[in-house]
Parts: sequence; structure tokens; C-alpha cells
Amino acid sequence: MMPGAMGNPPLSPVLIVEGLRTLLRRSGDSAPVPLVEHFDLTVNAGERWAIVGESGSGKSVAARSIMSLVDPPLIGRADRIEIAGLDLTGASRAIWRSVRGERIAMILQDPLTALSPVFTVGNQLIETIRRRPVSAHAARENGLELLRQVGIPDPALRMNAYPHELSGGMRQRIAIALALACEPRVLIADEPTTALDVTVQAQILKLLVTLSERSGTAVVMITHDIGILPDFAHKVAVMYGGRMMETGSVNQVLEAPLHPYTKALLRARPGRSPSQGRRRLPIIGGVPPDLLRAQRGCPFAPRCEVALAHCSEIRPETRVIEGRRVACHLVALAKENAV
Amino acid sequence: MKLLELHGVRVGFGVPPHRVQAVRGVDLAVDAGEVLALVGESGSGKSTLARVAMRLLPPDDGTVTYGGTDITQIKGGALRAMRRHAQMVFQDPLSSLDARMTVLQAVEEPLIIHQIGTRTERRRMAAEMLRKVGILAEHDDKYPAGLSGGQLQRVAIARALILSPPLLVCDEPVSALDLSVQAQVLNLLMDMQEERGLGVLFITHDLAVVSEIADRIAVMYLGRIVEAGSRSQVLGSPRHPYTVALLSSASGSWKACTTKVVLEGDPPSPINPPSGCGFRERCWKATELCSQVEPVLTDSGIDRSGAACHYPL
Repeated sequence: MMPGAMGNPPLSPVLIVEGLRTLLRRSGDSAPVPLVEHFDLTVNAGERWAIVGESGSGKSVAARSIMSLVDPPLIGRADRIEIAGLDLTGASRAIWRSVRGERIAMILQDPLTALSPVFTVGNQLIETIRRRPVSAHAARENGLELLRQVGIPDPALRMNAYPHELSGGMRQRIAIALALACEPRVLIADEPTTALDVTVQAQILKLLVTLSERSGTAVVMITHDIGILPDFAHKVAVMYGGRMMETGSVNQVLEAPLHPYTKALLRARPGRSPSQGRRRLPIIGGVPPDLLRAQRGCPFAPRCEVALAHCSEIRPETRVIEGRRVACHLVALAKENAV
Repeated sequence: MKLLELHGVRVGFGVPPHRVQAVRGVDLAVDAGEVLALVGESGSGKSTLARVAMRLLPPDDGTVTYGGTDITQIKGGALRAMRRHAQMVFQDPLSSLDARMTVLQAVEEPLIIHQIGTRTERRRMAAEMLRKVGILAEHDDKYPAGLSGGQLQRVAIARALILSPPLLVCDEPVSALDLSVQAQVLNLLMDMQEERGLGVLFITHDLAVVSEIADRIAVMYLGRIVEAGSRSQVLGSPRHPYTVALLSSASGSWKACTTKVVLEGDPPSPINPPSGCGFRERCWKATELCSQVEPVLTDSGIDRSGAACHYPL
């Protein structure tokens, strides 16, 4: 079933990001290079987003910048960041610390790096819950309930377990429980299922969908795997070379992509039907862009089969076309001619 | 013709009571010119089986036959000679290539080991092989650190094919690559396989990749093959519940079955596997019988297909 068909969640933005850019400052006098530029995102309550891109597309850097989690030599800047109604543009470290976990939380690809190896699951869970003024007893009850919600069997037993005693899928469930402990309005999930087996991946995706529907938590998933979009996300942003190429509903983007990069990426996906004969996969020629080299035009231009003469010179503006946001000269031109 | 045959292979690691039964009795054959995909999740024993097939690991039990010759026990010169006929490509080319050898040297090295040609001839052969896999001459003198992941995997393929082996074992060769590069490397593997009539044992967890390249498919779970058959059989009408679950977790419109199955529970421990069928604890069709009698792979003759299940679909 396509999540897009599940009825629309009420449109109240819980995350607004405008003009986000992440720069890499290099030694010497050379100017900082942008790793992410012109990143805009508005996420409504209960919405599930996916930011897809290949390695080096800037998707993870963008996610970390949203939470102000980049350290030098990376510098994160934004024209506007608003989380759950709180304006955080240019906020101090102290303010950010109070916001993370409470309003916006994150889960990572490898749950072992998110969990401490020397404390039990229960210890870590209760510590997190007691960021709020609750009694130890209430926190324990709350922790047990969280473990139940994320589908951990025998929660009372698991409270006393150390992370290394659990399987990868269980650890990711614990990491999700921790991230949800303070009831954040936005959850950022950076490749949460990439390290897991496919059958376990299906479980975790189902869990994230259930939890976001139950609590109205918006989820922004960072992934390289286009395959999980139909079962998970309402909306998708496709990134390449640090820029957003195409943003729209999952149905639209997967069924009728507009941007040449999205089209090429979808074509290159493996998978032929059992009756089909052997074929060669359509490929994207060339190599991914070198982000350390300043780029003037569209980052995809050198690999684009339909690039125009000025594509590598002038950066295409993001325009709203057919209900989605697309950054491409050709698509914009086709649109103008059609009008 | 059978290129590679494995019979009753068992492999374990460690000492009791913590002994891991990685491979628990597997029969498998790769014919000349065919691509056999071995599919399974982490811990299913597929990589261990690949290493046994390459004689990189000795099996505890069972035999490995290569072109009709039993190679289970061979050593020294005989083993080295066998390696001319079977080569391997690994998942991570950066760790399988020597960081201190240039690309050209890496591809030339197998020729030196097997004392083929003069120095000039070897260099020419290595350079030709690199051009064939799509590496430009300007990269010949570069070190692995200077190339991208896709380029490195091409070099690894060149190195594996320079001896013209009839058998190629690929362990997750495209899993670490981005989609746009993955398609390029898969196409290259298919080109090489067809051009040279290679027999390929292709190990992966990715069913979409399998659907592109495989002639036959064997599905592994907890050290055993639970289903085997032609590509169209296994992908089009899977019979083992685990295969159905695996297909259901894979994405894409290429699948014939669209039932959505999300399994409960985690994969079982290979240290202490469940009694009877290894999959029964997660299976929605399991009964008392499944915990008592381990189902065997029914072999329906010439195409060696079937499912190891008491209640096949």
C-alpha cells in the first residue's frame, strides 16, 4: 500500500529549513567549499520524508546540519531553522542542547555507536527519560512501555541487558526507543536500516511507520535505498552533488520523475521480471562530482545526457513544476514552452 | 558439464559449547557457463561456502570437486595450479587490492605467480585486460587509494580474469557500490561472463541484483540451502516460506509475488540452532512436525530445484 494513499496528515509544519548550507573550511587561504547548498525543507507533523542520494551527495551532512551537529572544519549556516515552533536560526549551543532530544532526535545507521557499551539498556533509557522531572519509578515504567512500543519481547528482562547482548535489529529498536524517550516532534533517521538484514529492515521500517502514525512524530529518513520509499515515505527529496534535484510526493517522483538525474537513477535500478530475458542495465555514465572543486552550474551536468550548453555554467533555480520542486534548466524550459 | 561440485559440506568455527555451525551440510554444483546466485542474509553461511569452494577454507566434512577432480585435500603446487582455474572477487576492493601496488602491477601479479609470459608480454596482457574492464591507460600507474570504488572493483575483476579461469566466485561484488556505479559493474560482469563462458558463483543478499544476473538461484538460511531452482522458478513462484519473506522484503515491480510478509523475531543463533527446521521459529506455517523433523531439499531431477519445507507453498 502506498503511504500517499493513507490520507493526509494535518498540515502544521514542525520543521522548517530555509537556505541551509554546509561549508568545508580548508587549511590556508582558499575559500570554504560548499558541501550542501540551497537546502530547503518543510516537514509537517506526522509526515514521513526520505532524503535520498548516493554517497557524497551531502544527505547526511545536511541532516546533521539541520540539528546543528557539525563541527569544524565543517560550518553549518541557514537563513532559517524552525523546529516545533521554535526559531533556532543562529541559536547558541546551549539552546541547541536543550532542543535536541526534546524537540528533534536522531537515530544512526549503527546503533552500537549510539548506545554506551558499559551501561545496561535500562540505565540508558531511564537516564534519558529523567531529563524531565520524573521519579525513578515512573521513569522505569515509562522505559518499559517504550520497549514494549518498539516491539522488544520481555522488556523487564531486556532492561538489564547490555547492548552487546542484543542482535542488530534489537539494538536499533533500543536506539529508536531512546530517540523517542522525550517525545520529539521530529525524528531524523540516518540510514537506520542499512546495516540490517532485509527481513529485519522490513520490521524496523514497519515499526517507524507505526510509531509515527501513533504519535504524530514527523520522520526524516536519510537513505541511499530508493526501494524502501513506497513502503515508508510520503515525500522525497533527491540530492546530488550537495543540491536538491527534485522534491515531491513519493508517488509523483517514482512514477513520473521530472529531473534527468532522478530518471537516470530510477532506470539504473536492478530488477527484471522472472519472464524477461537477460539485458544490460541502463547506466549513468561518468563519475560523481568532486565536491572539493567549486561548481558553477548544475552538479549533474557533466553526466547528464540531455544537458544544455549553459547547464554547466549557470545554476538552475529551484522551481515549482507540476506540484513538485525541480532544479533543472531543461525541465523549466519545457514547462515554459508548454504554457 | 559440472565445473564445481560441493557435496555434504560442513564447516564450523570455534570450540564447543560456542561452536558456530556456519555451513550444515550443503550440496551445490555450478555448471560451465552458468551463473548460480547464492542468496542469504548475514550469518547464513554463504561467504563461508564461497571460501570452501575456493579452497580458502578446509571443510570439516564433505568434498569439493573441481572439473571432476576431488580437490578437498590437495596441497602446495597442486592447490596453486587449481587456483588458475578458479578466481574470486570480494566485496571491498580497497582491502582486497594491495595498497602498495599500482593497478597494473596488481593485474600483472597473477601472471608472475603462475609464470606466464615474459615481463613485456605480461605488462601488455595486464594493460589489455584493464582496457577490457574499462580502466583508462592513464590510471595504470595509480595506486588503489587514487581510484573510486567502482574503478577499483573493475581492477579486481581484471585481476581475477587475467588467468582466464573457467570459474569465478564473486562475494557481494556490487554491494558496496552506489546505484549508478553498481549498474556499470554488473553490466561488465555480464559481458565478461558471456564473452568467456564463465561459470559464476555469485554471492549476494540483494535479490534485485540476482534477478538481473542469475541463471539459477540457491537460497541459504542458517547454514543450509532451503530452496533452489531456476531464476524464473525461485523469483516467479517461490515455494519456501523464507524465500517468500525475502522476496517480500525486496523492493521493486519486478517481483511476481506481491504478498507482503514481515517476519517476526530475529534470525536464530548459529551456535544453538533450533531443532528441526532452522526457520520454524519465524515461520507462519510451522507446526509440531517442523520442530521434530528437519525437512530436506527435495530434488526434482535435472534442474535440481526444490524447497526444504514440510509445507511448501
